[in-house]
Amino acid sequence: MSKAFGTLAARLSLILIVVILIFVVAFAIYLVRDRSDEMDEMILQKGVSAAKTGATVAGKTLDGIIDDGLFTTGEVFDYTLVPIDLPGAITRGYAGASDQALTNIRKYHYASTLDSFLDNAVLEVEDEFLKDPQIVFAVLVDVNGYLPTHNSRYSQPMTGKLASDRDNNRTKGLFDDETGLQAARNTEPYLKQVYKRDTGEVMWDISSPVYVKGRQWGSFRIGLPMDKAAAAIAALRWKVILAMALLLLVMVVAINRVTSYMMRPLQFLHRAVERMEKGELEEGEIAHLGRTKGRDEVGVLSRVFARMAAEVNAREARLKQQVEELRIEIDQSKRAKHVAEITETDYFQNLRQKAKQMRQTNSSE
Amino acid sequence: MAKVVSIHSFRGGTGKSNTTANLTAIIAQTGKRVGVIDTDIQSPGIHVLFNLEEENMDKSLNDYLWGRCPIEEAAYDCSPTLKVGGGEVAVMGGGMYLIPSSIKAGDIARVLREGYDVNLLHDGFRDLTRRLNLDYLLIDTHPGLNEETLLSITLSDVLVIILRPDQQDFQGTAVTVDVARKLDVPQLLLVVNKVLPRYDLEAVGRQVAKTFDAEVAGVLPLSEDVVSLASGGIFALRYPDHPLTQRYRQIAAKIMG
Repeated sequence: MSKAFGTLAARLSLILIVVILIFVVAFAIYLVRDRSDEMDEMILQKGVSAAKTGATVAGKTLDGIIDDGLFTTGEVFDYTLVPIDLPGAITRGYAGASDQALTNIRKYHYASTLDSFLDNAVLEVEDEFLKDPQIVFAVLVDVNGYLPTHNSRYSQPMTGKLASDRDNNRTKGLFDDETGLQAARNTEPYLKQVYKRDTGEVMWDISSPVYVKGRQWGSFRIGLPMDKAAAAIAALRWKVILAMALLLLVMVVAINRVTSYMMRPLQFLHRAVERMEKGELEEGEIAHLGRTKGRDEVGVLSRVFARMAAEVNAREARLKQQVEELRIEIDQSKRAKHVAEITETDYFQNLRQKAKQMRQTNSSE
Repeated sequence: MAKVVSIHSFRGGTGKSNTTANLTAIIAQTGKRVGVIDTDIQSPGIHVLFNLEEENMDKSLNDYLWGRCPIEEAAYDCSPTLKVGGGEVAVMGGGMYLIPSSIKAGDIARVLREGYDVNLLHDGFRDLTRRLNLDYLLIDTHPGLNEETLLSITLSDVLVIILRPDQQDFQGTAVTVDVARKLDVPQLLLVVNKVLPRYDLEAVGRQVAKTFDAEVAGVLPLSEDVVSLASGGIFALRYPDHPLTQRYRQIAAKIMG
């Protein structure tokens, strides 16, 4: 119905919707940004807390190993590494790989065999952190970046396929890349870095120093995926957009309904004016218009227009009456008599003759 | 060869001279050369509308009829007045020439006493149109049907009969229409003048056309503006955008065919 009237109601609705849309979008953007920042914060706080906890527990565990007399302090702080010879079945699969790739897959033991002991002592603690799906790895490393015991997830049996083994068996590796060393030697309560893993993943690396008997032994590193954080944020963004879209839809419908309802008196007036123009406006419609309630502009217009229309109609009715009064009465017999009086004179007869001659001379000139 | 147009009415007071003057001006504004001749020798008047005063009048139609001068000497070039009123500039090639009748009392008395050779009128029209190179010759006739008005009608290519919506005018127009038809007038036009504005003008036109079985060239309402002007000038020049002037233009268009 509102579409049939079109112009004013539609324009009004459109303007209101555009204005509201602008505000809604601005608010949505602000909301998403704000929440994203919050989420980022939350995720990192989680990482920091995990790194600190892991570092404390690892430190206590190593203290315990010394206290229990299982290893001496000197043995614990002896970082000497011994390369592990991998079985031929595995290395055969690595044929043709680059030197760099082979370096990354090299495995080591501690000369003191502390790493085997740690496989029992520290693995459970490390895996505990991975119960949180947002944590990718939680590991203890020494100051040189050597990782004695990786999470179970990354300690899968080796298969001989280089890429697969690189991704799934990372235990007992030497992570002395830039990020790894910074993390290993960090003495601040926590250090946040962007870590580009050789697997291709990019993630946050948060490390906290591990102290054994008052001396820094290494660090506890926590890995948080950037893409997982981004995914959480994206999910939030979509939630907000959907909510706003729904709100917008509701507002559009509401505005549409309200405007068309309010426009009804104006529509009625408009139709009456159109009908007046065609001369079809009837008394009943005029009376109805005249009874319009309301002190607003439309009410006033309707009542005044009704008055004017009534006057115009009355005047036209009067006019129509008068035109009918113009009567032309011709006395036909008198007419014939007068005509005869003129046309039967000699003068007239002569004139008729001359008329023909004169017309001929005129046209020939 | 010029088109000869007689403007006639059965009775006086129908607005004949005013209408003639307005039609003359309008036709001249289209670039035509128009002559207007006042053959109402007994009660001349159209010269007033052209602002031609007695002291500026030397020769008149009377002088020609009494053989005192060639007719073109009695013609006055009124084309400059085309520029008057509304700043209208005369169209290139247009012209208005008035041949007035004498307003000297003595001349009028003499004509009433002696009459004049009516056939001279015919020769006069022909000489006039040729010597002044006219496209149109409008004849403001004396009211009623007498010898010279019958002659005018006979010589005309177009006869315009002006009437008011008045019973006497209706009766008289009926007679005039019949007589004119017997004289084989090529084109007969009716103009209903001085109609009260509260009437539906178009309906009046249709009624008149039907009654006389003739073409109605225009229906002119009684205008207060015309009455105020009081023949002080030519209305169409003074008020070029007035709706009444537009109606005059429609009549002129019918005449120019």
